[in-house]
Amino acid sequence: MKVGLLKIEQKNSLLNKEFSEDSFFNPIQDINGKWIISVQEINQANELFAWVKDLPLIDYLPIETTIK
Amino acid sequence: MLGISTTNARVGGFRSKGLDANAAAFIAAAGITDTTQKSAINRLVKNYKGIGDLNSTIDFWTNSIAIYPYVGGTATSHKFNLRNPLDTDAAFRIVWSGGVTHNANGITGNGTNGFGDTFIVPSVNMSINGIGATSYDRTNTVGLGRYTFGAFQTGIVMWHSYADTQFGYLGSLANVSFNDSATPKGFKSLQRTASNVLKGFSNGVQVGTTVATTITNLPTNKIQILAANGLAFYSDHNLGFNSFGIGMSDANALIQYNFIQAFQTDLGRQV
Repeated sequence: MKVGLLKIEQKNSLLNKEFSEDSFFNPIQDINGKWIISVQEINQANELFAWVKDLPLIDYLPIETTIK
Repeated sequence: MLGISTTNARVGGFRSKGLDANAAAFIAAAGITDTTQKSAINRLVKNYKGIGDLNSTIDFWTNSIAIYPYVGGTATSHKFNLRNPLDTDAAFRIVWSGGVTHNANGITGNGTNGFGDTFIVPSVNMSINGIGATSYDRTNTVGLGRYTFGAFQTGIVMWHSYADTQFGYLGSLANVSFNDSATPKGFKSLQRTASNVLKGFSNGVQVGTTVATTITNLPTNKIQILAANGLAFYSDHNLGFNSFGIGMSDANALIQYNFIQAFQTDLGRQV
């Protein structure tokens, strides 16, 4: 699964911001501490955040947890 | 008038006596214009209230604090609580974050970062020995630690998850095992009706054994949809319904399943 890679300042600029009506960005960290957003957020982003469509895409490496 | 006649509207064979006021309020808030969807909501509300074709006696409505029917196909229409369709945190309107897809089949997580915040705090908004929570899951795949809903803090949990098998917790780490890991799809219901009674239901039928562990606390984190608040896992499943309220009996769990399944059938998305 591919995700968009963010720089710290980019991550901060997306916090609490709507990428489309009633949907908010949710930057998270992968297992290596890199900040990422999903391709769904990228694809649905409105023109105010058109720049996210140019983010480099990387493979998603989730933080593993054993609780189920 | 919202498109349903007061004299001749039919919903799945039921002759409705008109548009319920609570159904009308939800339809207006969610901006629903489709006649089939409006009729399905109206039938659902009447069955919740005990004045419907599949439930004419039991009042499930009063015992519910949040009902999320996910009708309308957009993030906006899917955010409203049928029980109280105001656009406020106090009304338990959902705020969507991350990659959640909205369409006629309901909501679908991306398994990465998509979830909905209900603003329901179990320790504040729910009763410790009388809790009910449900999910209508349209996806039949299993994976490690995915949550249809949940709230978590150390030692105090509330969630339904599907992993190598399915689990349900309401209050403690003593859980209901659903024992149907191959079929996570369907209407999953967790009901705590007393300090020593926790049961899980799949499509209205109890699965696993009754859990007798007592609890003393509920999570202070808000309940999330498609995730468990406090943990990293996110679901990639497609949900057609969630509800939260007071725990119910075995008989009522079956009644609820029957009218929720009818609701999904009215919308053409039953599994």
